[in-house]
Amino acid sequence: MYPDERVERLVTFEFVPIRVHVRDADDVYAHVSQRLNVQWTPTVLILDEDGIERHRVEGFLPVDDFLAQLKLGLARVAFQRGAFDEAERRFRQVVDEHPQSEAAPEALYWIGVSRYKGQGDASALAETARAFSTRYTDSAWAKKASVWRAA
Amino acid sequence: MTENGIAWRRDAERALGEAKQHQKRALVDFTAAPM
Repeated sequence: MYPDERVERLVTFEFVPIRVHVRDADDVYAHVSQRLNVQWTPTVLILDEDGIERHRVEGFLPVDDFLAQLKLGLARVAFQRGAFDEAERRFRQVVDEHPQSEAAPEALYWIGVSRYKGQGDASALAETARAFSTRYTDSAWAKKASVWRAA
Repeated sequence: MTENGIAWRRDAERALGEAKQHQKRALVDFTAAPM
């Protein structure tokens, strides 16, 4: 389904893929894109076990960024169901394995939130703010974390 | 709904059921790339 072997491996291992092609029967594409509010291709949605959308990627991305987004989505699914240890591990995987991706600063932010929510440890937020003082300093996520400096 | 539409819906429902059964997530890929 995906030409890149790493993407194919991740998709096969973690997901059940469903493809909707714009050239599918009009009623299929119209019905599904309207129901899921999709206005453009490519758009990739990650749905949780109950079919609820948890993550959305709109527009083409190079392989490394796409992989990072898929892993970010998996982390968000875990976070949403309150599996904060798993979420922290998955967010960390994004930062460690795809440090140059756009997803990495977002993941770094949510590592701190996951640890705070999972363990009630407010120092995780301050630690995250400190981490942003040396990494991804110009990102929007660094600004968001800046409020935790005194935490 | 056309036969294609009915078939697609059946496939999508099967995929969502499979995702739930195996505790996987569903990846819905809207694409215009050549098949």
